[in-house]
Amino acid sequence: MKLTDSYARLKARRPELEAAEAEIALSEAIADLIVDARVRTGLTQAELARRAGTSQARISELERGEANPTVDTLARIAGALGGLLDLGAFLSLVGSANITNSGTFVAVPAQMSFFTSAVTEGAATAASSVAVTQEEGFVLNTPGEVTLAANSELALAA
Amino acid sequence: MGVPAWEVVFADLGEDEDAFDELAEDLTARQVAQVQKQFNRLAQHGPALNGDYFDNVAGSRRGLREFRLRADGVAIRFLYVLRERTFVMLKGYRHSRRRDVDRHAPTAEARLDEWEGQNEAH
Repeated sequence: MKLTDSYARLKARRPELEAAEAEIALSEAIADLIVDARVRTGLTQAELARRAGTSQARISELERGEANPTVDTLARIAGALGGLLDLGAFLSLVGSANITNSGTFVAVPAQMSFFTSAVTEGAATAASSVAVTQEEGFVLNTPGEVTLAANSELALAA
Repeated sequence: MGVPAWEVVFADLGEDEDAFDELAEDLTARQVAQVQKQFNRLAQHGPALNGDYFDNVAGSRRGLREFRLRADGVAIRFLYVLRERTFVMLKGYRHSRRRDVDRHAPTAEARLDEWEGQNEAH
């Protein structure tokens, strides 16, 4: 059976493949952001890994789009890249509507659930927006800018 | 992306199942989708894809080769032959040990015999 026909049949049998495809598309978009920022800084993967406190293999994996970073890892990479990681573009991937006001609620599509589950215990939380919207997502606490840091500025909605 | 330059087909196993279905049973949805993307790349680029993706199967009586891919850290191999511009994918499996191929190659070769018999009949 041809590839396209075979995969179409698989998708009909396993509807969860649709969400998996969306998640992979997101991985690849994140990968592009990291590669772009790293190249602009002139860092090697190994140097970025050292600065971010992770392994070169992990950076390579993320740059190939083979995995999604946790919030904590992405925050450390962003810090290591000296602000060149385009977090506005990143948040547009997760469905940010307005990232300039304190308390803005950022809805998180289903395929981003791995981010919410990855936020470390003890992260600041602000659930008021969630109570109104009945959605799952992040609440931005810092007006005027978005800094991706699991334990402070970007809070996980309970 | 334009029309794929190469064809990728999977050995039929009967009862509405082929070699891709068989592999997919051992993989998560995310891994299946990643594998599918790599097959798409194969269809697009063919043998020019990248040397790391391909290897010979030592001692294969039918000239089997293996397509090497990864999905979420899991190593996967797909035994195949290339016939003109068609990759005939015969047997996929999760790779863990070097000797795995010895176990799967006879199955792949038997499927190749069957596939060639069917295609010659047409």
